[in-house]
Amino acid sequence: MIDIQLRSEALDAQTCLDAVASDKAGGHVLFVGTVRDHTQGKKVNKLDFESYEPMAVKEMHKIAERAMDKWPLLGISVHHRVGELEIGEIPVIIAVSSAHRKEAFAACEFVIDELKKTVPIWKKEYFDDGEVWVAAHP
Amino acid sequence: MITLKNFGIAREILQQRELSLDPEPLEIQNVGDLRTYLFSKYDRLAMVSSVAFAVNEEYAEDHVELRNGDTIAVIPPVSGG
Repeated sequence: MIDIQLRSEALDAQTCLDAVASDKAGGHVLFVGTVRDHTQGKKVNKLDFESYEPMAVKEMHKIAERAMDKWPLLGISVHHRVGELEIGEIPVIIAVSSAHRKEAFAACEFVIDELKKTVPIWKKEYFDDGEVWVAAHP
Repeated sequence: MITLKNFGIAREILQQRELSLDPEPLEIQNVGDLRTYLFSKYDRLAMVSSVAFAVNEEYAEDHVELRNGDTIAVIPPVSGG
């Protein structure tokens, strides 16, 4: 079971857990990303996420499929937010269910690591004295 | 014609979200040619730490040929999550 969503409204962890629920599951692993108030010692005021929507959804699907091939999982749910986010808000949630916890932990970490590498989503950080696209320059 | 979709810092540098381009007079045959053209026209794009391209929503290396009607995304370093 794969559930991928790109949303402009607030994300909800329980929705992701419910999406991967199974009577065969022995555990669920949940990763909740949150907007931090600083980066490299600088105070961050807010973030803005932009995406290439159809491709972002496809790429998240591919990552989930790769994880399902790699480990015996029951379900993966990946929800990513777009638009403006304040400190403490949730840009991403990943829920993974499997019969045994070890696979679920490994798969959850794999999915967030790969998402950060390949999914066409970009974030801009806003500071008191300006703004910057993350990772755009060395 | 091909359609370029520009995202993140690429959208800001090209100053538009989307633009149409006739590749023939510019002798743009593949992704690499498009890269060379864009980098010479927009020197700030050449300064971005890496720029990837997607043709019709799939990542494409420089050797991938472009065809009339293709949609090409200009993809600066991604930073989701």
